[in-house]
Amino acid sequence: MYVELHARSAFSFLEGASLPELLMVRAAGLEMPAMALLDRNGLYGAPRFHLAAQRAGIRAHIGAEIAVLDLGERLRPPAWLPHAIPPEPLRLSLLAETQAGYQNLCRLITRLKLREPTKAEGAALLADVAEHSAGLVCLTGGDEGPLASALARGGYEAALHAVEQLTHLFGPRQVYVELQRHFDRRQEHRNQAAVRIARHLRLPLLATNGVSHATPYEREVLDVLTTIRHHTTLASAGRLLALNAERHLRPAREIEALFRDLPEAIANTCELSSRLTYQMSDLGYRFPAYPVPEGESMQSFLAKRTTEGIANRYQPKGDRPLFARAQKQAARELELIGKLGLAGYFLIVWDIVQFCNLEGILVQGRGSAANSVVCYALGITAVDPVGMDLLFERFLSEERGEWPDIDLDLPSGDDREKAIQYVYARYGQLGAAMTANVITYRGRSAAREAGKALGFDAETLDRLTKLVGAWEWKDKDDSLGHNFQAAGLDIQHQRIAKYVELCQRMQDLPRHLGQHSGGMVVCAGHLNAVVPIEWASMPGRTVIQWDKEDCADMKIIKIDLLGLGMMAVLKDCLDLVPRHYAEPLDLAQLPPNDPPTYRALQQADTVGMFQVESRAQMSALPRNHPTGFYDIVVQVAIIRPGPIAGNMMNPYMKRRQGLEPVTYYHPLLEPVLKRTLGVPLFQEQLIRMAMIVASFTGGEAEELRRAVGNRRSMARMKELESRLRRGMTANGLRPDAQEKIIQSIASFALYGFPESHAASFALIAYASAYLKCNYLAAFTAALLNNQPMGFYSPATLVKDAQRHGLRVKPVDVQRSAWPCTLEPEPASPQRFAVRLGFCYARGLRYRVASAIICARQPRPFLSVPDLALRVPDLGKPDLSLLAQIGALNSLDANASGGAPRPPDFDKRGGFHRRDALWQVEYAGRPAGPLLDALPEPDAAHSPLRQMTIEERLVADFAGTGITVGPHPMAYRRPVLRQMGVLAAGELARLRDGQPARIAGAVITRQRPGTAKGFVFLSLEDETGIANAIITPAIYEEFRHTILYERFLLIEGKLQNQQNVISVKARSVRPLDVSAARLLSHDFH
Amino acid sequence: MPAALYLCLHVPDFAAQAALGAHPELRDQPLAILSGQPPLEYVFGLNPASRQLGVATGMRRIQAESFPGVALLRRSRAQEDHAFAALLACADGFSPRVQVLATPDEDESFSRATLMLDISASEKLLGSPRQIAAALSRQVHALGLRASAAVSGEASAALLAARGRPGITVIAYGEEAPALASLPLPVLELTDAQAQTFAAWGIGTLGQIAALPLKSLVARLGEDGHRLHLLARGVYPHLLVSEADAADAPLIEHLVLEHPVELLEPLIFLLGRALEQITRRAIESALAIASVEISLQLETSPPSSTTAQHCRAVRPALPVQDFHILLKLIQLDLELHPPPSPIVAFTLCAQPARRPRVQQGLFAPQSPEAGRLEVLLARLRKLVGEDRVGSPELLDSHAPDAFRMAPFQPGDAAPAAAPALSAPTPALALRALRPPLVVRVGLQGAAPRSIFLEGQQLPVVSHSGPWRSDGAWWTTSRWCREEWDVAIDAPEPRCLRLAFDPGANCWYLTGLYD
Repeated sequence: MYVELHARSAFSFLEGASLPELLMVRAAGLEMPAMALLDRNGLYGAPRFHLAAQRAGIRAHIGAEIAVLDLGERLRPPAWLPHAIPPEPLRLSLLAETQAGYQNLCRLITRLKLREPTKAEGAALLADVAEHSAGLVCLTGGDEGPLASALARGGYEAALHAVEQLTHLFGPRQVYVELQRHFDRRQEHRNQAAVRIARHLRLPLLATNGVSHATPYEREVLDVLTTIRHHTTLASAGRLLALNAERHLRPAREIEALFRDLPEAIANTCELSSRLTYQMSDLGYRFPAYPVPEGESMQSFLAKRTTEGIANRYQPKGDRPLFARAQKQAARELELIGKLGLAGYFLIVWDIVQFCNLEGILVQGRGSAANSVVCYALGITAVDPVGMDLLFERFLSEERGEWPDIDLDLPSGDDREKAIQYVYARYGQLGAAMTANVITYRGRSAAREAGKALGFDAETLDRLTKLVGAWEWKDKDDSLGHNFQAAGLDIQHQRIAKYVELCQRMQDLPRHLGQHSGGMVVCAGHLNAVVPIEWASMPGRTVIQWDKEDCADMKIIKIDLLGLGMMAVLKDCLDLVPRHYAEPLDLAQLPPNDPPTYRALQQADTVGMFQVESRAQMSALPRNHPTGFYDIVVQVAIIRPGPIAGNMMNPYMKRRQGLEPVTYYHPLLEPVLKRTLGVPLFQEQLIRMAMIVASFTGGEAEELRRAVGNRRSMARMKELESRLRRGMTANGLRPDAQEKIIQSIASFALYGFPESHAASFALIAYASAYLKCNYLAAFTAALLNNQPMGFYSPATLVKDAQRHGLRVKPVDVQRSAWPCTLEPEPASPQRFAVRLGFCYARGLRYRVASAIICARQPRPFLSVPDLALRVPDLGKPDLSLLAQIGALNSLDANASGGAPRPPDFDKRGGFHRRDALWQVEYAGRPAGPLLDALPEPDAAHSPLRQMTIEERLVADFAGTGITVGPHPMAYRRPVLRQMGVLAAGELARLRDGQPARIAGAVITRQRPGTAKGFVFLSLEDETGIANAIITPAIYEEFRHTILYERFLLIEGKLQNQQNVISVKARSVRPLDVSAARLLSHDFH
Repeated sequence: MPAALYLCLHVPDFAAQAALGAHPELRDQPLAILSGQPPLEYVFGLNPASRQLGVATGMRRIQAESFPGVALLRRSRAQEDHAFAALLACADGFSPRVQVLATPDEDESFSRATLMLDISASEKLLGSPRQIAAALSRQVHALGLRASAAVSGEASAALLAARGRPGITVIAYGEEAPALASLPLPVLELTDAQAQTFAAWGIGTLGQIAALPLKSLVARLGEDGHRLHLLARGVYPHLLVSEADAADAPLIEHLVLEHPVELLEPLIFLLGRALEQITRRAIESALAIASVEISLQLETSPPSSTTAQHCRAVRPALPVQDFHILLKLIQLDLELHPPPSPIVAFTLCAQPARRPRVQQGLFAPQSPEAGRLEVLLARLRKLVGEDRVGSPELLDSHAPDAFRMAPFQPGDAAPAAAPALSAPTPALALRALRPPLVVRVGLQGAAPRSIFLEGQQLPVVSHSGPWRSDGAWWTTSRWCREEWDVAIDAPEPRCLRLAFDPGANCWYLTGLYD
């Protein structure tokens, strides 16, 4: 019997080649009773290792290799041997024997990580180790350990001293002398010394294999990872690479044969394993308690706040029965919350919401929390769950045995950061942290790194990585090999074949630790005793070593503080509308049935609106024809992979339009499915269906929903499915109805929305639509100021706004601020134009823009030299950029400082961009302080001709990504007409099935996972957006044109189905319109 | 004194054109020249036909192959050098003063050759400027090269016109600016920053630059503005430095033999005569010879190559003036690398350099004379092989005995102290056998039981191992090795090191422990 007690996983980031799960599966295959994981300076892979062990039915021991700075350098080849192995501190291999040991290990890692000023590998000090040594077992280690290093440095005596030092630190019972045999002559020399030392100090010997990969085959991946770690190539890595492929998990008989001469070293592995009693199921994590006034319990305090909230929310509605129902529901929820001991959790989230309200930060709960009237009463969510008859069990149930999930949407940017910093301040640096996000190797990153390792040149790497497909849909040919062949590589060539193989094998291996977009973990006591904490790359933020899945698996509660671009837009509008339009704006009191808003939604005129602007949404909106808020809720939920894959969308739309009768799977389900016309669209409906047709409890039904989506619980799902069938049979459902119900559950339990979540999003969607329809200038400015967000590029947003009558003015040094701003239209002061801000001048730094704004405060700039002189921060590249985008054109009034204008000044187009460029080149010359202010003697005019329209377009898109002038297609319209090309706005005139020819700038390319390889293109022209459908065959035929051309001409058959217009392409060809670099949003 | 007159000859796509010399059958076909190491070969040169098809420089081989009908050839520096030498010789026939403005290997991204000829006062001898240009073009065409030629009283105007216009251009005196006005800016070979500025100004032709006010341009672009303005007007002064005048111009001797020479001895005799000429020319200019490239034109091309040329080069450690030393080096090199077939012509191209001046230290030990040492090393290389002379240098690799021979260059630093014989150093010394001895080994399981050495079976009394190592798994030269340390008693107690190569399934005796 043998237990492997020293293994590194891929979570030793570039020092191990196998995922923890894979190591555990292999250990189980080798019938090991237990195994230990010791990753470098972290417990990154520990939860996955622990859970995999639970699944495999074996014990997982947790430990880590800890770098210690003042114990010396780790073993390196002697100086006379050429090598590139950098000096590194040696590492102690520590195993957690008890919970105290585990907590010490977490604290020790946190200490070493947070001692660094920023995110870094870090190393502990001997004093830290001494402080946190209790409950830990120390191994003398392999190449990285103190014994090997001391032996090489000072021979036997030094090695003996090093091991003695360990026994002083950890105690003699806690130190094992480690032996590894990788068929290496020098290692055997060390082993002999180690045996002598162990005998001398009466320490136990311990055989390990210093595992770095599960199987010998993965050694190649390890070598590639090593080259990535050391920024080199395989050809020049030399001794950095593994000597052989022996560091893999060995079966007991092999390792017993290897240590035949030292059987106690094998026996001790089992002995030590039995000593290591700590299991990760006992983390010691507790959610913090909320401080309540004396005489109150958290439950009573929560009940009081809820009662107040119910009164505030429902009494103004004047609906007594609703109020009574809300009170009843609140009592039911409070009882369950009390029973589950969750009052503190609700109060802590409420506390964050209170902070946001105090600070004027918009906040709204999303997800299933909106099913709870307690959340509604506390102001966490904005949807009335009682009024909308939402199902509480989707949020919380007694059976589920896990913490509820409350996600808060905040305006992205500074406001969200304020909320995050509040949580840090409230719970302390060691009490709160963000959850991590493990960045893994995917197609492109694997292709790039493996190529670098093999020594490919930069140009080839660029070509390769660009061609690795990133579509959501992958067809059978869309393999890495296929992509590389398309990139011009001969995949039959041995080196290329190896490259492709390596890329595939690197997929999903961890690359580094990132930061989750908003998940925060808080803890009663010290979080750093539960999981190690380290610096995030963002200043002022710390991150735990586990990602959100691991946190959920380890039952650690996470509060998501998510940044939502549209919330930031709404927040900006709350400022812009009252300031400019002099009208109050309260998002909670928006007119519920605003006709222009619904008209826009019905006509799918929704560019820029939250959740309903995508092409798929636009094609569904005319069919759904929303007339009330619930229609928007449905609209938000229906364009999801679940309903689409479950074939729910078409039946719903047909029933909505009266083209198909409303039927139910079973009469019993009518109350549940009535609102959605007999078609299940929400997760709550599935839960209710299971409760009604199969007599499930709420908790069981919720468990069923979760089991469907979780690949790990296949066995449980099968069990629940058979229970579902039994229940349905008992309730008299016919087999065909049973099948339909099971299919609908299976198809979108995972990908469908909860109704409450859809309702929360629908609120924001309606608010965005209302603002766009009523305050277009404010909404557009806010949208432009919060990019990137949404589905369309700023250029498309500007063009859409212009089509709706908004004037958008270019960047101007005399008038622009950093963000886009509103300017009253001279003709009608109640109407506003949007002035592009300096933030759209690509490459212009905020500091420089601020200097411009500051310098023009006393008086406007007189000329380009005046501008250059008064804003010394403006370098020539900045001036040149501003001149190219026309931001200096307003300096024409005194262009030459009062000098007479040339006679042909007006004929030449006034003071134009080239005049400015000519002056910029003079003003930006390195003249020195003496001659800086010297005016140019004959600067009255420039000899340059005005930019052509094409040149202006190119300059606009290169400098701002936007043109405020006509759309590039507008200039080509006469020629296009001769070619028989219809404008997007004219397509409605055509009948369904008629041939059509459309052209435009490609603004989106999509290949959704649910569309069976179809590609959807949106082409923009001066009249609007035309949609094209590309079949897989046409895509293959015109692949390059479709992927890379910016302007396309598409011929095909017009499809007009209930005012949803698109052209099914028969041919696609590039169109020479402009060299301007219009951007397309691709691969959604 | 007659007015100056310059003829500029510009050969675009030089690599593709040079390759056509060896493959005239491809003349009318689209052609792409590949450079770089497989599998990462890229298109380096093109002819107009392949460019028209859409092939572009920088494309990978497999992409270029996807264009139907495009012939792909590997780049041959030798062919290019030969073609360039022929071009130069051709130009020499029209003027004694020829300056090379661009050589084919000057730029790694594209290939061209540009020569400037001073043809002042040649009208009576060779005809009108147009006739001279036409005659030169004809001769160049006969070499298989397509060139553009331009004649002007201003060298810069001739250069720009030749770069920018195909065929023959003759620019009359004083007409330089109008003649150049329509040429695009790339002929000026601007820096990226200059190109960006002109693009921002909407300037696309030389005429537009010439029309800019000079003072304003200089105020903006500095001295470069002045130069570009003069260039655009075709009046930038040019001082022609002929190759003959240039200190570092290569010295070339070319000889076509009456009969093919098969033996090395008569060839060395002929080479010696040419070499003597070259060294004499170098000595006259107070120069020495830094390197000599020998191109031997073969009677038939060898089966392994597409070219009928055998090229070698000798580079003494220091430039030498003694032609005997150079000749000896050439002789030793050719004996080591004999030409595969009889020789019909040869070209010697020697690179002159300043004579070395070495100040010997007063107390420095006497070292052999550089030239003699070079000859000695060449003799040694001939005796033992080229990669076996120099000083060994360990490689950063796990591969056993990984080393290479580096040129012997004793450093100034004191030799590194020998590693202290402290405890980690094994007490045994290994006497490595190089090359290792192939032996038969009797096995018990995977371990050696006996060794068959020199006809005797020697039983193994104890062993340790295997010690495994492998590497280079990403290449075809993947290696793998298992080593064993064994002890034998007879004929005398010894410890040996054995190695097993699983790839070759072969055992070796690689060393003896002392």
